[in-house]
Amino acid sequence: MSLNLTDDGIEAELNRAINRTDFFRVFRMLADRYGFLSFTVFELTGMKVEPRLDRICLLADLPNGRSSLCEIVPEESQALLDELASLRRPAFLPAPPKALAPFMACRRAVMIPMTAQTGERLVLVLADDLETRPEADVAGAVFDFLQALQKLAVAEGLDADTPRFRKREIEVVEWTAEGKTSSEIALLLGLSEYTVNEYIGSAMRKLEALNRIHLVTKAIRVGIIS
Amino acid sequence: MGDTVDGQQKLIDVLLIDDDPTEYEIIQYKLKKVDSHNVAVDFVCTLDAGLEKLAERNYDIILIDNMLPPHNDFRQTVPLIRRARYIGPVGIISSDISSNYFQSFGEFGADFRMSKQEVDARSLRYIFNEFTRDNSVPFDEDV
Repeated sequence: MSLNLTDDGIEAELNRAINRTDFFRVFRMLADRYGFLSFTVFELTGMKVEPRLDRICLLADLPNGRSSLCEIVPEESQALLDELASLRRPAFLPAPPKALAPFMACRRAVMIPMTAQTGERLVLVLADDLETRPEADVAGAVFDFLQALQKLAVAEGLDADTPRFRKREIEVVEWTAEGKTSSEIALLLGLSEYTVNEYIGSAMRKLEALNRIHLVTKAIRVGIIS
Repeated sequence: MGDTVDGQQKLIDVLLIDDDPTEYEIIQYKLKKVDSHNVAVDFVCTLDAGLEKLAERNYDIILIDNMLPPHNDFRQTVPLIRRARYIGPVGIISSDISSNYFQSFGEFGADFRMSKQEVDARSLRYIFNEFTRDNSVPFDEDV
């Protein structure tokens, strides 16, 4: 399937997208195309490990990024988590979710859930300020955003029951097993400390590990490293 | 607002390496619209000058033009930055990021790529939020 519109290069960018910054760029292009003010993507998988909004947020087009989400009071966070978890189809909300309202600065919100092959779910929250939207426009937006979410799920390793590990993830886990810190691994592999931590974080999510030691133990147990 | 220390916005130090001084002016102009962060940009025109800067002090983020003569592209420049023991985020900016070799930016030590047309206040805000946040992973404490 291809995107609803292909003449503005978004589909090509989506097909090229590798990491979260690439997906930020694609979601932004789509948001601009359909006139949404901003967007946030949550990964409900992470709730098994850490039910914190900032930890389950994959992409944040918010004034203070994911850090904004730490400012939300626990009751409102839980209400949003419950709302995200119960969503089964796109929802057009007359007002943004209470927890996100201070950061979204919009009159309405659209929430689009996507279930990956593994059953894990992503939910996109869009800030909407338009008075009305033509039905065809709404359908096109949902269609395009769903495809982008599916690609994001693949990039995040949520497309297979047995998680696939990228070469770099395995290398980083191997060095972690040798007792190296993130900064030491970054120097060894010629990467940034940020990216090393992202690899460790994604490996932890895939193995549902709680910390580095747990990650190494599980990685050995399932044969990712020896 | 951005991360704060004692109520003050944390200063984000950016090193921009671009052979076109106009890009520095453009970035400075766009940064004026980023009200979520306090950002200081150092600008150099060559990779060698950038490596000298790195020897003097640390930067939170490096933004580097893809084509920096006499080097061909980021596949030559970013590994040299990493060899200089810089472990902060490096982003490649270029007029055109559609060439196939851009798909391998991670293998050469870069963290992200962005076309120059995409670099605006909203993208810069995202970059500063994302790449200056603490994404460290716990060793053995409870999470």
